[in-house]
Amino acid sequence: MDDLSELPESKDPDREGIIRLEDDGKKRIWDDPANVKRLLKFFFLLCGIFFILDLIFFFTHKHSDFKHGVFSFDGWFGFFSVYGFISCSLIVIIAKELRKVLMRSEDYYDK
Amino acid sequence: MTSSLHPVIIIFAGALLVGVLKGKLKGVVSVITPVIGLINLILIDRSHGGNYVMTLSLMDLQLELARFDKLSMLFAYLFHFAAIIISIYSLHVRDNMQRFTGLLYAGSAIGAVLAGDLVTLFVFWELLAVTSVFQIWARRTSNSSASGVRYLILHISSGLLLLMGATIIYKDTGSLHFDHFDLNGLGGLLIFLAFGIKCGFPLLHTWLTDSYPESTAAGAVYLCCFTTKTAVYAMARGFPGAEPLIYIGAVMAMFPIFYAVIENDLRRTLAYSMINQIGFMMVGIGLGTDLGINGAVAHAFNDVFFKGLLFMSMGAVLYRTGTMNASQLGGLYKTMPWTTGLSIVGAAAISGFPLMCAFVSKSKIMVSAAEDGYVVIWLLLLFAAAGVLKHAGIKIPFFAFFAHDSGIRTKEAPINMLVAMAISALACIIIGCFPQLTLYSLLPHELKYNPYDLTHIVTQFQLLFFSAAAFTVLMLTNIYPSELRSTNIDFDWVWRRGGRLFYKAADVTLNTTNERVHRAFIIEFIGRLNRFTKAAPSRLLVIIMTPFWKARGLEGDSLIAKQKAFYEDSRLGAFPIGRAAIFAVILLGLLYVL
Repeated sequence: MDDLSELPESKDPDREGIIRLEDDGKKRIWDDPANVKRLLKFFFLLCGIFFILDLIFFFTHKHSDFKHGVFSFDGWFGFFSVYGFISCSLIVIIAKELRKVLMRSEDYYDK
Repeated sequence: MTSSLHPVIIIFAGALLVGVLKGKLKGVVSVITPVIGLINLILIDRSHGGNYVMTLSLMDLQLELARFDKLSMLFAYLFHFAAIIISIYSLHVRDNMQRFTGLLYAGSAIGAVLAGDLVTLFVFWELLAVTSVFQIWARRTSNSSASGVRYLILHISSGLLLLMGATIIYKDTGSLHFDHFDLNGLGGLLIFLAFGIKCGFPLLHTWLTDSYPESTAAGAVYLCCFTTKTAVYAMARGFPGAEPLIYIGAVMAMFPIFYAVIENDLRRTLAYSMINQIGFMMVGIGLGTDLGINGAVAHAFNDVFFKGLLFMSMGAVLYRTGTMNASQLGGLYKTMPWTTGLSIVGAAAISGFPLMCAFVSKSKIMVSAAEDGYVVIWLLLLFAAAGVLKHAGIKIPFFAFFAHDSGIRTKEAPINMLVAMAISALACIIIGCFPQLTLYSLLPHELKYNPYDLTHIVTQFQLLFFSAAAFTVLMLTNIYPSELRSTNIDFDWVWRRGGRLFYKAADVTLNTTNERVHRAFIIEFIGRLNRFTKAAPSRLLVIIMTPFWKARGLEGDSLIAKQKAFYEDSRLGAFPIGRAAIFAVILLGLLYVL
């Protein structure tokens, strides 16, 4: 966690709107780990449902957007699920590696 | 009722009023002005039908001050909607600099999309640059003023390129009409680059990620709604079907994703996401098919609502907490529930959830790419679409409102901000649910296209849910990179550090040369000349006199002493009267002889 007291000083007109209150001590919905678990379960259930729906579709309705016939992989069963999962993982992993090359200190350009 | 009043006049007049008025009236006028503009625009649309041009003869030039056809009309409507929403959003702002220039900025954007010739376009293009920079400078920090200058340099260059291109085209064709340009001519190429700077082409994109996070809360919303959308319009008008745009667009859709993942400033993340969205639009324009152009234009239209909504929600967070760093935020859902909810609507819309607006526009571009057989491009766009969900759809609301609790407790955003966000959110949903009634009827090409085809819905849900699943898994396994306070170097290194290097290099070479030349000419040469003119006559006299002294028998040291004394006397002009008289006689004799 960063220290919040070190906000930069400025004449920024938006700073008039800053309001900091004390915590009222109430528990909110995501403070309870059980709720988070329930949400995750529901989410993975939905993932499963769409995967199975695709299987039903694969045999009934599904069509490809590629008209030339050769590239019809977007009509394969589960293509979008697998592609989405792999893409998203790749993005995060590549970005994490890129940090080693790209990351500098916050005031890099001020020096 | 009919109307033939140029829409820009209304907005500019309103802007002037806003600049003068004070208190509540200022706010009322700033909201009413774009509403009146919108009514005027509808009247023009009704009274003149599809095609109408307002002309002005200026010397030999026939200027088309406003051209109303389907394409320009769509953007004119869009900018009026945007101006209304942002005016409501910035009602709490008392700073005159922002309020006054904000409306001028909106007016310039409207003028630019309505311009029918290159001279009118150039004028509004430059006005757009000049009026928009105040949205950055209004933040009044040292970073924002520096960033504003960098922004201005790129945007003024864009205007100059446009002017150069327009001049060449006028010379070649004798026409200034703003329509399709040939990319193979120099004039066309310069205009392409001019539009490209404002579109945020790769390597020219740095102004986007540099200036958006430095602008004010409302300023970022202004910037996101007008400048890039004007550029997308110009591209769609000038270069539909230009093949390079497909590849440029694919690069634009791809590279910002990675930056967006590791960026700590949430508004800079949105700026990267902006480049990514424009990438989709560029591909659509580059494909040049009716479906592609429609998709690109529709996506630009929707982008104002969903990206505007995300920028507005982040602006509200900035306004209430004073920070935009993901590493400092989190847990805000507890105190800003409405902002959280509206931000999630925006996030769902940009990710392209069915029944949300991006779904009905992005799918057009994808289908058009597939139908034209661009397999690799299609795969890249699909990759980018998964990335959009990741960096804009999940990251923005998750790190600002949920994630780890930062302990920040604040108040809900001001009511005017919430109203503006609610209007945008409603627009996202209405366009998403009833595309045929709303957006599609405004599009330039008549097409029967139904985005709600069962295959599309199921595949889109799969893409989104499994991308989100990847995020969840990476988060649960702690592979996901944590948010760190940092700067990630991008191509603006070349402008910023490179600029400094250039300055230093120029400093060293030019100033050293200057100093050397100064020393050689001013100090050395002039000094020598001075000494020469002073000493030469004396030396000459010494040389003339020496034989006489030798004849008088002076030698060795006494001769040298005599020479020195005589030299000093002549240099100072201190001759005894007798000697001076002799010289005067010699001189007069010489004059007489000659």
